[in-house]
Amino acid sequence: MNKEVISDKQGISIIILYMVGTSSIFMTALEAEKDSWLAIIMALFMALIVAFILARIKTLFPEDDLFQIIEKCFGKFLGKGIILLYTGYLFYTGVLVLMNITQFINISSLDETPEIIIRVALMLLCVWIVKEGMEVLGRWSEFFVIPIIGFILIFICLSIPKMNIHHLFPILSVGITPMIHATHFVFAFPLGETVIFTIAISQLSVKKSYYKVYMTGVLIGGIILLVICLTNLLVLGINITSGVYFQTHLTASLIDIGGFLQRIEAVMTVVLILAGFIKLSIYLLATSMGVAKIFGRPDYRFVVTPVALLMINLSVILFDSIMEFMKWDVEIWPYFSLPFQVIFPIIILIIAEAKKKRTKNSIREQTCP
Amino acid sequence: MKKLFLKMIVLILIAANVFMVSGCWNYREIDEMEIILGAAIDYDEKSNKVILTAEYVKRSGGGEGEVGPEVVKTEGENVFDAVRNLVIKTGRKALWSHTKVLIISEDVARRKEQLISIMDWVQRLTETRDDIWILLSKEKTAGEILEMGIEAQKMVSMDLTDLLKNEGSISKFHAVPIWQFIDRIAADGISPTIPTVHKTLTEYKTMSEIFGTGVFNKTKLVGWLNGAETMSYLWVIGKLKGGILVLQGNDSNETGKMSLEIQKNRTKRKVNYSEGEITMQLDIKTTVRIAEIGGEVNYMDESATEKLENDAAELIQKRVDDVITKVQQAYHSDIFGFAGVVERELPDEWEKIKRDWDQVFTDLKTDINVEVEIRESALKSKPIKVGE
Amino acid sequence: MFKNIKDRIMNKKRNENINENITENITEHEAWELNQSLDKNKALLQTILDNDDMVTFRDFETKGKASLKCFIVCVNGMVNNEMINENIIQPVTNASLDEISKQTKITDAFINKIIVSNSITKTSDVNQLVCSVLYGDTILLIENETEALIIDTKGWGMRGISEPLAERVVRGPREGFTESVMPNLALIRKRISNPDLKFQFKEIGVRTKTKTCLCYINGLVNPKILQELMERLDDINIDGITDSGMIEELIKDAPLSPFATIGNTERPDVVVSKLLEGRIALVCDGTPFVLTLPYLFIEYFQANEDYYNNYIYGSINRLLKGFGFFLSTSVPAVYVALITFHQEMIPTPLILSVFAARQGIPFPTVVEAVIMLIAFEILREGGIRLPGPIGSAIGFVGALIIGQAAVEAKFVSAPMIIIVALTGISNFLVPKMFGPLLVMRLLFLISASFLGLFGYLFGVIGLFIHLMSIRSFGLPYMLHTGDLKMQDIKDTTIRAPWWTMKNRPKLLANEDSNRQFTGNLGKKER
Repeated sequence: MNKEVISDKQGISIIILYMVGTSSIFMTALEAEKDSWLAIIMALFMALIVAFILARIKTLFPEDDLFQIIEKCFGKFLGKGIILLYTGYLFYTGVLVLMNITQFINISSLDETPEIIIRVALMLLCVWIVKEGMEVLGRWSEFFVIPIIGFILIFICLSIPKMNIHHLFPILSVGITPMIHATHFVFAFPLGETVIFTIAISQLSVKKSYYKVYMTGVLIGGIILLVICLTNLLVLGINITSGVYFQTHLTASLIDIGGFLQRIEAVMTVVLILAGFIKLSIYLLATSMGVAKIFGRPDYRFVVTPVALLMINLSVILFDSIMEFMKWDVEIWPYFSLPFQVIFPIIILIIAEAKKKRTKNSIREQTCP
Repeated sequence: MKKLFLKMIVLILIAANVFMVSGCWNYREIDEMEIILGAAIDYDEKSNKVILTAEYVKRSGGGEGEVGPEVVKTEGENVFDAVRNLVIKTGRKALWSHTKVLIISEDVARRKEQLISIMDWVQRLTETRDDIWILLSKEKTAGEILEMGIEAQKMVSMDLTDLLKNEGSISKFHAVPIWQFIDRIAADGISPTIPTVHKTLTEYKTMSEIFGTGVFNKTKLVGWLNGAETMSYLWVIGKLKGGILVLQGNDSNETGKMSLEIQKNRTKRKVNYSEGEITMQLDIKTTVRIAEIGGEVNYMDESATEKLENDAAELIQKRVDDVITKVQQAYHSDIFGFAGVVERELPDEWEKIKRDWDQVFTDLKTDINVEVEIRESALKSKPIKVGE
Repeated sequence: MFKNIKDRIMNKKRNENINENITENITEHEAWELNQSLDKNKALLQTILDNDDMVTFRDFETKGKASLKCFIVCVNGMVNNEMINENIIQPVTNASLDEISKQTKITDAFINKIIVSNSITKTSDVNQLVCSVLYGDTILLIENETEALIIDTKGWGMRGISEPLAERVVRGPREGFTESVMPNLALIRKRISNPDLKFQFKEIGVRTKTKTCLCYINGLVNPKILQELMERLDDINIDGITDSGMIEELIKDAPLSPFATIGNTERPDVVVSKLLEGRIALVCDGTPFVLTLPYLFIEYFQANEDYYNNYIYGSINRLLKGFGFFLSTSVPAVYVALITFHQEMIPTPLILSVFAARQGIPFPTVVEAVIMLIAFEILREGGIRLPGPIGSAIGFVGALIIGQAAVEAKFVSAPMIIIVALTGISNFLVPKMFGPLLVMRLLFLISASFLGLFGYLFGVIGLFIHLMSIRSFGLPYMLHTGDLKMQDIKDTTIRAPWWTMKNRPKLLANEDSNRQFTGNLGKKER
């Protein structure tokens, strides 16, 4: 298996694009109403802790991806079981992301086009880039991250005239329970999803820099989400924000600078979909790697196309309507994903630390009897 | 290599097939559609039907250049039905993404279910944009506003849009895009308003005019404000950007009317709370310049200026007070958003009075402080001197 | 390579069964070498160069008592006759071999004392002799000697050095390469007087034996890339090369990609600057186009003139080129997407005028766009082949008149003419990219007509996946293209002043990365 190495900067770019991806189209923390931005900040802190844990795991085993680490920690049999669970989880999440993106395109502008066409077109590109490998993915992200962040910043600057600070007050008006819920939701998707990068970004050119890459990526991605959330809230107010599916799209459609620079929401959606594409590719990559691992194959490329086709199939049969999808997405998903994002990594870290200590001790015993 | 070529050919064939067989879904030629510029919605009580009047761009039949307006009327059970019926009348699909204004009639505005269904239609449909201006017709029907464009070959919707964009220099109406209107309906602390549009008959032609405001209590039209009252309303909500303040000269024989042009205005709204009673404090600070003097008095010297400032402040205070009282007593609708201020500044108290805010609002005391500052006097430093 | 001449001749001999002596001779000596007998040698050469009337044999003798018989072989038209007469025949016929001591070999005496020429080699290899004759040299065979002399007498007519038509500059050197390899190498060599500049010859083409030359600067070039290039050149197995374009296609990294991963230029100054960046140049005989490699995407946008003009102007030019790339690929696609999918994005006055202009046009917008783009390509291709002034006149007048008439006849709408004209003109900002641009433009247009702006977006994503995935001799093709780091931006997005460009591009030259040494002019100025 040829190890594919990417640089720190490319790793950070991938994580940023991943975080910005679909989550900037749908605002997730709306249970906290006016305080959803506070929920994002809290979730960001939690996500940084998780990123730290994962970086620690990766630093203990710098040569391996998460699947290999699981096998080392849990043994061959139990390890395969956990890998299977993880692969299923990633596959399922990938389908959700695919649905997110295509539903957005479908509802916001191409309402007469069958969704399946958009899915196939998008998946085709994902298969392509995943087959080209992690290096191409890294270079692609590195190239596009600057324009995407630039566009988002411009979007925010142009929205400033429409902002109304009163939309945020009074602060902390919703109480503690919705707040915790909202924090959990934002954490579950996308901020806590760092675990996927222990699979996808398996090799960095500098071995020690997992802390830097994971945490910087999560931090910048989280801040961009926070700023987009604040912009939407400030421009639209909570009533409209919670009433529509695609807040950023609506905010962008309200921009009007001197009657000339207006109607730019399609540009904004295009930018967000660029990021969403990376997100989807990462899921496809990680799922394929999981499947390859289960079958004991060193290279994942042979399985990319079948996985992509399965994703398209599942996305068609999974939900009947966007209403059902949204309900599921908000009410069940966060609990479903919690074990994979937090519980397993903590267990793995504990076992890994114990193993490392033992091997170190045994080495010491051997060397100085 | 050969295999790759074969693969590519198969792929291209598949792609071509998809292209040929399925057609292009959202692909719509612009000349196969009618560009709707404005719509007016009426409600016919007898038949319980919605009447939609749409202004669209007339096709010039192959000639270059000129585009004119065309108006079509359709009926339907509800808004969407009426919209679909447009196709029958025009023979082509309608393009709603360039609609500028939506005019509703008084009948519609007084019926909650009609108003809600219109708003829902606008926001739900992908094509209609949320920044359409909403207008309330003061005429019998909303449709006639649009219909008068045919005669003059002018696009009424475009003219209305241009007018609405100039709110800052007229200040006799408060332009409201539809998303804001919906927001106001949904929000706790404020009730919506809609500017009213009139038809004016001059000697030569009919024209559309916008001034005044329709006052809503949430979703129901409860009353009107005229142009001057609307200006005071703008003063209260702090959205005044310009306009003219006309002072009657006080020395009856010496001076005539004086015009002050408003240049800048800031309204600070605060809540004073003592012993269970809420007072709304408005601090209005207006900067004006002298625009017109109808007499000989030299307002350039300090005392005269001061006097003028005081007069203006008094006038503003009176007008603002009048409009607040009128809305409180006659309409019982918090179009000023006082509730929002209370919620922001006294969240605990707000929880208590939230239920019967309408009553609280009616009895709400206001404390209005106005400060006027004259900054400049345009091009002239002295009034016109009349020779003996 | 040489073997097949031998084989062929041997076959011929066997079939015709003449001159058995020679055949015997060949079978005796494994190597294909000269014989002691002058007559036999002559007969051998005459058989090899059989039926070729351009080849001239000339016999003569030296002066004096012990006169030696000699003869020369040369190809008429490829040699400088005057030089042969004055520097070979005249000295040899005037020379007397009496004074030459018996110890010295006759051939050495010829080289050292008699023949006037700066380049003489001696060999007994018949293959080499034949090849030299065919490439314009003259060979001299002497009685009783098994070695012949190859004397450089190349002198065919060639085009003078002139300004290359395809790469004109307002400011900068006006010399261009010609079709002969040696003068081309001279043009490079005279710009770099440094022993580190290396030239290595290679012959490509089984039949044509086209001379190609690898140029690089030792110490700057990346040895791995050089090694890789050598291997790829050795792998070429083709019978003839007529232009460097053929070599380019035979050794390029992504054979199916429309993008070039090997650059070409007609200008020596461009080649020199590429060499100084650590790149390798490949000069091929018979064409003025010199290949440079590795070639990165960004080099499409780096014109030589950018470096000679003021850096602000150069930077603006470079940004313009990037913008031209965007316009040329995207304008038709975006226009079609906006007009047929996203009408809400166009300002109302504009859509009203498009609405008016589209009235009565029989074709759908996409078809209209494709027709006009093809028409433009036809006009361009037609104009390019015609002689200068007529070509441009036909191109532009034809475009104008046809455009005008098409609009009036309601075949196409007026905005479409503007779109196509804009596309076409911006095409010329990156003149080396015609092919890729054409492909991209059509692909984007088709995908945009599928899914509107999203289709266009998918096209862009695909394009960049492709660009990111190809490499040029081990270097990522998009290296430095999107970077915003100060060090890398200097010669990519903008053209920084020369005194700030202290380092060579990374990854290319890893041995000596300093471009400037301390105490340079820029520092003094600052």
